[in-house]
Amino acid sequence: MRRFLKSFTSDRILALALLLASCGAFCAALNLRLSDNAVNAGTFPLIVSAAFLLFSGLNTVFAFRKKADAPKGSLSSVLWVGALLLGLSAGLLLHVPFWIVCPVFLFVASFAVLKQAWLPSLLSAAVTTGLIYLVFAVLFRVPLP
Amino acid sequence: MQGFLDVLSFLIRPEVLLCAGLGTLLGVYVGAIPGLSGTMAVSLLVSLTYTWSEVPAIALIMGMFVGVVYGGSRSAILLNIPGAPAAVATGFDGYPLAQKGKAAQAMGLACVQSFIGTVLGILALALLTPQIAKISSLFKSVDFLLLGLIALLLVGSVSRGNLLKGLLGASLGLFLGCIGNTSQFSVNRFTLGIRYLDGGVSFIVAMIGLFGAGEALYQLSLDQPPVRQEVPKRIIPPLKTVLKHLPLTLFSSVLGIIVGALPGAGGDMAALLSYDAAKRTVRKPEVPFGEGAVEGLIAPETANNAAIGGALIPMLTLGIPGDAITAVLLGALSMRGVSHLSLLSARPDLFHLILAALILAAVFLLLFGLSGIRVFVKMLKIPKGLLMPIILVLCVVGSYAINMNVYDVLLMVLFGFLSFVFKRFSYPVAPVVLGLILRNLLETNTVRVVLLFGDLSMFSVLSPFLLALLIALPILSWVRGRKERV
Repeated sequence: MRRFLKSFTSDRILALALLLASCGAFCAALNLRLSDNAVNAGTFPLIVSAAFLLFSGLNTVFAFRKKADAPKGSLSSVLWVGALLLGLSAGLLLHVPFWIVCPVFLFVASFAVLKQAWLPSLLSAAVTTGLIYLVFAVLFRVPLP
Repeated sequence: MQGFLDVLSFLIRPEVLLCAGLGTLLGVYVGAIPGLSGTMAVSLLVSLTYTWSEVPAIALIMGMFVGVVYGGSRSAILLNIPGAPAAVATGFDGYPLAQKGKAAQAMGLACVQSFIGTVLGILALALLTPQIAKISSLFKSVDFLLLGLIALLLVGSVSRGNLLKGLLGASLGLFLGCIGNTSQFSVNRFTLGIRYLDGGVSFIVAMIGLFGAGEALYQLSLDQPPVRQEVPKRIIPPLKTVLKHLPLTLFSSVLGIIVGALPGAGGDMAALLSYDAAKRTVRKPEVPFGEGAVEGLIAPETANNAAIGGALIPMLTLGIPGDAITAVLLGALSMRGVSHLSLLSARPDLFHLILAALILAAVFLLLFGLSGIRVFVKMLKIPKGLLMPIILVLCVVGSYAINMNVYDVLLMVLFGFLSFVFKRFSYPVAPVVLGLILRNLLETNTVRVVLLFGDLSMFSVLSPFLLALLIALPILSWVRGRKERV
């Protein structure tokens, strides 16, 4: 059992996830296609999702047949920055103004996560926010969130 | 002769000179900012210049048009974030060149090639407009479908030895492109009840997430110091290099002009097709394609600028826009009371003004396009720990600026994570964008072809020629993938 579970390396899990997604896509397209007998909104998605299913099926077979690829790079900083990025988007979604969430994100990501000195991190946060505000909001009248 | 004199008289008018220059300068820098697309910039200018007289307004807009198409290549080369869809193919070899420390040379070469492409596009616009308009009007739905399928061949070129994963990515992109309400059918597809998805997945948002955010996250996972950039004394590429690649330049220009003249195809399609054609025709590139081949930079950069002249041809002769920017331009002209199907015969003065503005914009492109490169390159010297969060913020602002919608930001972040996972496990991300870009062209024309045949069963819909092509395409891609691995 343990050996079976161990065979599920991360690249194989990804291949399985893609296969699952393609099955879902194919079923949804088939459902849409069957709703009418004429050319309809499901015709093209059905062709495309069939190709998606075929390629992801083959990909899964190859993933299980060959030796697992070792993923490149480390994950720790990416996870933290990714979480901060999600936090930034969530902040904007909750109507926290951009000029607050942007410098906070930049400073925390540079200083706390990516271990840069505090002064360059602070400067980068302030200058970037200022420049973005100047170019987008002032110069091109593109309202920021 | 009279036409030539008219163009000349516009060329020496100070307001045309000033506005074309200003428009090009703005275009080069606006195009380099992800999220500020050429269409958006031109639309902004149209509203800004609404009260102006016709001559300076059109000169400014034309300058912007030429500038943004080149500007998009800067961020594609430096950060792998194409400033515009037309610059997607530029990043395939431009970004690897920057990673080798040759960002300045790449941007210089891109500028010169864009200039040549623009000039050849103008020449075609001035001399061959009726002939090219005739060719573009001959294109039927089946031909557009074939064009889309040929563009799909590019999957083989951008898969970097992982053809199966590339095909998987392309089919995923095509499926994601199907999400939302289509123009042909009033049906919400695969939206899972999320109202935001009714409008579909914006491929610009996807592009920013997949190329920009994904690359930034991936770079953070690699423990590599920033690449030392060579800043040569001469940023202008040697004449020898330009002449050596002249046949490819001419070929890419012709392809760009013709594809640009096809309604709905535009510069992005021209650049993709031209990159693919270059990969097929250039036998021994100095560096393999996808790893920093100059040919892979020359072909799309020449074609997307040559497509400017091409896109104006159906607009001026048939009243049909060649791409999104010419659609805005056509709207701007009709706002000014110029609403004739054939502007070429109805308003020759306008045609001559457009030609003069384009000529000036091409010259200014060379001037402004080569400026500021050293400053841009310095950006790559910023430590990764500071630069990557800045890129992520730019991706956030860029994706928001398209529709002023925070959900676009969330979607961009999702695409960023998808891209990171794909890169981590050696799945190419470019085919996903390719699928998203090509979906509309492929679906619209598939449906038209199916309707023309009047039958639903697949084998009666497919003509023997199309069927043979459909079978040949994967085989060709497979053969090419094998050739790449050898």
